Formats: sequence, C-alpha cells, structure tokens
Amino acid sequence: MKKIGLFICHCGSNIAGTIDIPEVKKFFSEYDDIEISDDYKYMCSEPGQKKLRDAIVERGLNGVVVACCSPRMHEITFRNAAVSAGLNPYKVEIANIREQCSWVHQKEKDKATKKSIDIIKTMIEKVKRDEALQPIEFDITKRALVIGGGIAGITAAVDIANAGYEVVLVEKRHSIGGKMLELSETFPTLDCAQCTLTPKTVEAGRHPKIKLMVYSEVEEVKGYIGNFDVKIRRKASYVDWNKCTGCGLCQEKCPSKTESEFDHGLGERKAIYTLSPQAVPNKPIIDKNSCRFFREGKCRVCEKVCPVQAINYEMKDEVIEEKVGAIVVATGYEILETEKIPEYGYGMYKDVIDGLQFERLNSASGPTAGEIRRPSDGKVPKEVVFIKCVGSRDPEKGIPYCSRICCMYLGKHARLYKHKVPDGQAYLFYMDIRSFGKGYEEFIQQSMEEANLLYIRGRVARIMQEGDKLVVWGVDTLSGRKVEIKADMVVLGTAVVPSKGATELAKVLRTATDEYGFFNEAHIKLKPVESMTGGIYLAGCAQAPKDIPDTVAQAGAAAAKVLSLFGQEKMVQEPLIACVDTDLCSGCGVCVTACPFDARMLDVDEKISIVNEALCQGCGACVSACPNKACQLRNASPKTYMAMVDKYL
Amino acid sequence: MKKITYYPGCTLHSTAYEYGDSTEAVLKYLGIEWQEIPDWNCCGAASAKSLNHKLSILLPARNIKNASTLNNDIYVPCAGCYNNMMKAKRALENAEERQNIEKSLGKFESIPEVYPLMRLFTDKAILEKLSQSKLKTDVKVASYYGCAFVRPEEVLQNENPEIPQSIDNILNAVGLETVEWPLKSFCCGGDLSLADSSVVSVLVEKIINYAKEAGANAIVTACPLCQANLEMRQKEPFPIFYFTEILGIAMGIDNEKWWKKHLVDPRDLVSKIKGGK
Amino acid sequence: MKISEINKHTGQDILLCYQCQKCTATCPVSNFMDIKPDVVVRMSINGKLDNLMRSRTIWVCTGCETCGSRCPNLISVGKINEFMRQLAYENKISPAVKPALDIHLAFLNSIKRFGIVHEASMLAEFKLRTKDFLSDLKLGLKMFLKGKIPIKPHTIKGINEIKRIFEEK
Repeated sequence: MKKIGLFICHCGSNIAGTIDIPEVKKFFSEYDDIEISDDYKYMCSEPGQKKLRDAIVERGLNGVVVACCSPRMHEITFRNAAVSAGLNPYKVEIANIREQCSWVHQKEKDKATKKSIDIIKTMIEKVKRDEALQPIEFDITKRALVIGGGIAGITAAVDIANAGYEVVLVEKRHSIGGKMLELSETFPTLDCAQCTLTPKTVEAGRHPKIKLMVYSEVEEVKGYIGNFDVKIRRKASYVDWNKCTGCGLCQEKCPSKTESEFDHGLGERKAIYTLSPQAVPNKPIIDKNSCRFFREGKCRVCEKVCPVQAINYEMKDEVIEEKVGAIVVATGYEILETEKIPEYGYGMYKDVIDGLQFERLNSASGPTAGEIRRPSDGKVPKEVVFIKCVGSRDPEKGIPYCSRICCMYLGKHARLYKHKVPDGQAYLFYMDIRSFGKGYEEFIQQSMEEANLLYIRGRVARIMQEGDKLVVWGVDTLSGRKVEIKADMVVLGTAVVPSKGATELAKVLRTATDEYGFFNEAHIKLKPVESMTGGIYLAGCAQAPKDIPDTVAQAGAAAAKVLSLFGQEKMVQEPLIACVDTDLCSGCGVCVTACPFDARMLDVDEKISIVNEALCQGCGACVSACPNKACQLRNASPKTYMAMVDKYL
Repeated sequence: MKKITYYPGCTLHSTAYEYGDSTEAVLKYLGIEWQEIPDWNCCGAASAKSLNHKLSILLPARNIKNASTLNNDIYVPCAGCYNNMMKAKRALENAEERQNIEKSLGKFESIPEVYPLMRLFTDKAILEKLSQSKLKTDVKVASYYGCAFVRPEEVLQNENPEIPQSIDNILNAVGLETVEWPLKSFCCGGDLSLADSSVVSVLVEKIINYAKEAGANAIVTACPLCQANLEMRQKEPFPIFYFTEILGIAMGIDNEKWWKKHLVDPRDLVSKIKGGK
Repeated sequence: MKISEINKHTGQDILLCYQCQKCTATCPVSNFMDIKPDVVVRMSINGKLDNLMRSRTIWVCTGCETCGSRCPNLISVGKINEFMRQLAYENKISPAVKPALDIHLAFLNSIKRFGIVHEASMLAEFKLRTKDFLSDLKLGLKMFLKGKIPIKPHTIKGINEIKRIFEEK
C-alpha cells in the first residue's frame, strides 16, 4: 500500500501567480495512492519543511512528491528533511512546475494548471517505483597533488600542508615561483615582487609536509575523487641534486651561452643554470640544446669544476608514481604571441617589447640590473608608449575577453618608468581603464596626477621604425584627432592566454577546458574553484586571467575545498548510479567503451560487466549503449520511465 | 611544362604596357605556356563597385566563366583585377549568389582557381629556376604591394597584409636585396588620382620617403595603378619598376622598349642593377 | 534603413563596434575626410545615412580595406562607404566630390561601349564631364606620347552580353 504525500509550493507568486494551486490540490486529494495533498507559500522555508516532516511521521508516508522549482535548487533540502523524519531520501522526488511550467506559460494559465497536474502525475509514478537506497562510502587517500609552482600552487600547497596533510607540488620548470618571480614590483602598492614571494617559496621548499617535484610533469592520472593514481615524469637534469650544494661554480665556468627564457630573451644564461638568484630549490640543470658537450661531444667543464661530482651526463628521465586524494590545478598563464598583431612590429623592431619583458628591464635581477634601457642600443628611452588591449578584446586577431590585469600593470609600468626616468614622458593608449580591485582606482588616479602619465583614449593603428625612433600612429578619440608619437620604446600590454599544454593536461585529468584553454569551473558563480571533475580543484590563472590578490584568494579557497574533503572520515557518493542486471548482461563490453569516466569494466571470471561505484557519475551513457538493457540507472529503470510516460499520455 | 590561364586586364595592353610585355618575356624564358581568357572584358575596376554592386560581380564573373573552358588556374598580374575577380569567385562559391549570377550569365561548368601573378613565381620549383639568374649589384629596392593584392584578407586569403613577402622572395631569388620597410601595403591613393590628385600626392610622398629612408634606390611593385600613381605624383625622380622587369634584367632579356614607357626614366639604375657602378 | 540591411549589404555586424577608433587612426586618407571612419560606423548605426551619402568621405575613401583588416571586430568602414556610394548614386544625390563620380561614369561608359576600357575616349569624356581641361594636361600628353594611351579602341566580341549585363538591375 503506497502512502504518498504531495506538497505544492506557491513560490510566492512565481508558481501561484500562474497555476491555480487550489485546483491542483483538489485534483490530487482524491488521487490513487495519495495520502495527503497539501500546499504552502514557500515549501523550502522552515515551516514548509516542517509540514513535510510532520506528515511523514503522522501519516506514515512512504513516498513524497514536492511540486516546486528545479531539483537543482531544493531536492537536497527536501531529501534532508525526509531523512530527519525517518524516510529514505531517495523516496523523495521533485515535480518541477516552476522552470518547466509556470515561468514559461505565464500567459496561458489554464494550460499551465493542466500541465502542472501532468507533471505531478508522472512524478507520482516514479515515487511509487523508487527504491530506498543507501549512499556509497569509500576511503579517502588524504594526500594532495598540486600542479604548478607559481603563487597559486604555492599558496594552495602551503595551506593544505599547514593543516597537516602531505602535498606533492609539481612544477614544470626547475624552481618554483612562477611568473610572479619574474615581476619587478606589483600594483597597487609597488612592493617588490620577490620580497613578497620569496618567504612563500622558501616556506614551500622547506615544509616537512611538502614534497617538491620540480622539473617534472604530470603524465597520467587514473582513479577518482579520494583515490587518484598519478604518474609524474621527472625530467633528467643531468645534475645529481642530492650531491649538489648549489655553489654555482658550474654556472660560472660554463662556456655556452644562450637566450634566457627567464629574462624573456633580453638577457643571456649559461647552458647549465639555475632559474634565478633566488631559486628554490637552488639547483641547476643542463639544457641539452645549448650545452656544448651534448651538441658537440666535447667540453665537460662543469663536470671538471664540480667539487662534489654531482654532474651526471647519463641521467635519464624518471617516472614516479604517487597516490593522492585531491588535485589542485594551478598551471598559470602565458601571454599571447604578439606576432599575431603584426601592425605593432613585435619581433621586427627590437624596441617594441611586451609587458613581461618590461618587468625584466625594471627588475634588479634583470638584464639591465633594473635600469630602464632599451634593447636595441641600451639608451635610456625618453618617450615611451604603453599600449593596452594588445590582443585582448580583439576577436578578430586575438582573444575576445578582457585580460583583466593589463590596465593595472601598464599603469604600474609607466609609473615605475617615471620613477627611474623622471624627465621621460609616458603615453598610455587605452580603450577603457578597468581598475576594479581594492585600491586600484586610487592607484590610477594617483598615477595620472602625480606621475604625469598621459592617458590617451584610442587604439594604436601602426608602429613603424624611423631611424632610431618608433613612429606610433594612433588616435585620441576624445578630441577625434589622429596622434603621431615618435617614441624611443613601446611596451605592449599583451593578452593573457592559458599556459601551454593546459588543454593536454585537462585530457590527462579528464576534466574540461573552455574554448580558449582555461580550465572550466563547475559553476561560474557557485562553484568557482571546483573543476568539472570531482576531487580536482582550480587556482589562479589556470581558470581565467586574474591578478595576484584574486589568485591567492582562489588558491586559499581551493585548499579549503581539499581540506573539507580530507576532513570527512569516508567519501560519500550518491547511489543514483548505474547497475547491472546480471541475468541480462552478456559481457559484450559495449558499456566499457561508452563510459566517459572509466567506471565500467568486464569481470573476466563471471563474463559480465561491472560498475566501479566510485567512478560512476550516473550519466547513463552505458544505459543507452547496452543492447540487452542490462545496464540500468538506479531508480530510473526503463520500466519506471515507461510508466511515467504512460501516465502522461 | 606548366600551363596557365592569363588575364592581363585593360592596363597591361595600355598604360602598363611594360608590365605586360615583361611578363610575357619572362613567362617565355621560363617555358611557361599561357593562354589569355577568351574574349575577356574589363573587370569594372573601382568604378563598377562604386556605383553598382551587381555589375561589379557580373563583369569579373563573365571572365571566370570564359576562363573555365581552358581548365587551368587563372593568374592575374593587376591587383585591382585580382581583387575583383576574387570577390566574384567568392560569390560563385555561395550557392544562392551563384544562382543569381547564372541567371545572367548561364551555367558555370567549373570555377577555376584565381591567383595573383606573384604566386606563379613563388612556387618552389620556379623560385629555384629563378635563382639560377643571379644579379650582382649593391642596388637595394623596396618591394611595394599596395592594397588590393592583400586585403580584405578574409576574401583573398593570399598573404599577410601587414608583412607581405612574395615580391621580396622573388627579387631575393635573383639576387636583388630588398629593404625591410613599414609601408609595403600602405595605400597609394588608388583611383583618387584623377578625382583628387592632392590626396594622392601626400600619400605617394610618404611612401617614397619611407622607401628612401629604409635605404632603397627604387620601388618595385606588381600593381599597375600603384606604379602609375607613384610615377605620376612623385616630386624628385625615383624609379618605380614592375617586378617582372627586374626578372627580365636578371635573365638578360630586358628590352629598351620597357624603359622608354616609364614616366620616370629608370635607365641609370637599370645599368647599376646589371652590375655597372 | 535598418541596421540589419546595412549589415547584410556589407557582410559584417556594425553593432560590434566599441569605438576604439583604430579605423580612424589607421585610415591613410582620414585627414581628408569630413566624417571620420569611426563616425561613419556610428552614423550608420544611428541611421544618419543621408549625411553619409552627401559626405566627402564616401568619395575620398579609396577602399584600401586597412580599416577592415585591423578592426578588432572585423568591421570594414570601406565596405560601408562603398555601399553609401551605391546608394547615393541610386538616389541621384549630388556627390560632394563630383570628379570622383565623373571618372566612374566615364569609366563605366567606356566598358559599356567596348567591353574593355579605352583610355583616350574615357579621359575625354571625363574632361567633358568635369569641364576642367587643364589639370594633368601635361601628364596626359606625356603618357600619350609614350604610347601608353592607344588611339584606336578595341571592342570585344561579346559586347552585346556586356550591354545586357549593364541593363540588368
């Protein structure tokens, strides 16, 4: 004997304004298997939930239908309410009469009322067939993997480690610090980037709970939330870091020089090198492409000078396996290849540089030791043009989105330039000044007033070399006049794009990126640090362009998400997943190929297909693929659905 | 042996006679066989598209139709003709527009490929052949493409409109150094030349000054209208060549007739290019 | 005229314009225009087509397409100008730069007569239309003497087809 309770929500006037609720209530009061048909202004409110709880206890309900908004909103609310009254939560169903009825049929009230009755009828059929299910529990490996050793990754790793859990911090380059370590001074406070960052890198480097794996890349990820198996490739550095003391003698004596990636091509480095003077860990690698020994078979200078015999030309890549329960992706950003905007002459004219190159020019550890000298002839530039939105907000040649940081960092660049070259003139071409953060607008205003920066609203059309000057053709849109500036140097505020390899990494992680290659969050407002895959969280520019304060905040939030997972004793998973009717399954394996989550496999002994309950997301791909209808989703069998449809027809 | 369909356009038989004659001489030297489009007509230049859109598509479309009987790719020396023909070709690639065109001109059997003349010479095999004739000179030139060979990029899909390279590659192959300069695809003023010559003079002066500044002794172009504007509206004599004339010099098949047609006498520079001091 | 019609004729979406004015900065002849390229886009959006059809701008624009190639939103002001020229001619609006229309008319008449352009008669018609016989006289003579302007016109075989194309609307 079924005893089902129906509760119809008015949702203020959202539902009641369109649907005749007394009519619906009356219709179901005499309906088969309905024990009680009731309504309330806001079912999700505490008094509304109390109605539901009381009815379960007093009337002994064994099923509940709440006719209200989308199950995405309050299914969990009503299921929890049912649990507290002693009813299995999976015997509660939502009939969506708001999004799928009242909202879309506001002008046809009679039809809407009729449709809401149909929707409720079908859900009653479902509740009648629902089984009581128990959540699935499994163990959690309470170690985390953080991919990317920039400010985002370091922050997340340190936060997790400080809570007492082990962290594996993987970084592609051979020391941590990321892009922030390349910056000179940061907005809006103009404090030195290294001074703020290095305490963090040192902490991460020395933390007993952090296993630092630099010069390494994640190669394979298997498993699921709570239990990931990860393979990490540690690239051959040709230096035994256990022996190396970081004395720097090899670097000093190495005869091969090449362009420094850290200085963005403005300076040189040796073939055996550490990334920067403040490198953590302070250990060098040999770059095979520029090393004389690797290219010509002769040299071995580093080997001869090393006092501890740490050089090993025979070293091979190593693949290391780790088990973790959660992953934080903090892979950062790159800047757009500025060659894509050829009218600005980047790559053709030496004195047209990008924003990161300017950071190095301005940095005490940079190629000019912090003096502003232009790349072509080392002269101090007296007229410098800064251009915003280079590639950003440019759907045709660049990317359509706003890169969010350029307005601020170019303002900062111009101001730092004026500090070092007080008699110089800085021009900033802009389209809009987006100074959204705390203290940002004040920073820009101060720059205009005190540093005499000349802001010109307009986009630059062309940059041309004329003698030792760069002629910049632009327009001042506020006066409607063309502007021609003969500049000594031009700095491009180039668009922020995802770091190279982000899309490939997303495939390895079985999570999604957006059309540009940034990692997708699970919900743009409500789940901004969760990825589309359980147990994988996002921090920093891997998700979207952002400044340092936002990056650090998001990294902290990602760490908190990891910790709230690790705080649970057992991992609990919804039981609404696939199951196999062992009588019908022929073991054909179609479901194994259909499953996007690697949750299906064949039991070789029994010759049938089985479900990995931790991996299954209940998507139903196997159900539609199965030729024998042996795959079913729990509480959503074809029989149930046929009954629901029958009632509707 | 390579066979091509050739669309000289009106100017190569008149104001740009030297371009037409040098092109034919070079093709003959390289053993490339060409056939003119049978009974071709004017493409409408800038005038048809200025006053009547339909006309600006139908005129070049008729040429494409006549060319389709020859079953070879069409090569077009004039930038304006090339641009107009490409627009007609894109219209023909659209089913609805093609129907309208066929209502006027009858059914098209096929639509041949349309290329600018430069593309013929940037073919790898031909570039190699060109590099057998090496000039020995310290003369430097600025290659100039103008607008219609490179823009609109989405229609032509020819070469990078900001830094076009084909003429440079061709001239470098025969050993002539080209300078890197920023106005390769800057507008010369086009058909404004007769309607408002003052505008054109300003643009031409800019182009020639930049070319000189970059260290060039002459400008080399492929567009008859650019060549005419640059010669007609310049102040101090600065030679303006067609790229096929330079190829002619390199191959030793240049003709006195060509130089006589120039409004700015280039003969002093021609002898320097040939290796004289 | 609706914006959607302008978009259809010019094959672009002018509403995407966010007034960065890169077009005006880019345009080689914007100094000679009475309505700057960015304003052309704005006026097309606001329906001020009459002002555009009467402007110098549409006749000074050389159609070089630099604006379109550098626009972040793929809007070619040249294509709007071209469309406005066609509209102005259709609506018999007297052009702000009369010689520009005269040269086009002389040019098209030449094509209509011979199928190809015959420079000598074309230039003669142009001079008659502008009634300005002195400008570029020396230049024209020089070109004539160099044999760059053939005297005898050549008529193509398919001239009747050309005439028919001209009659089509």
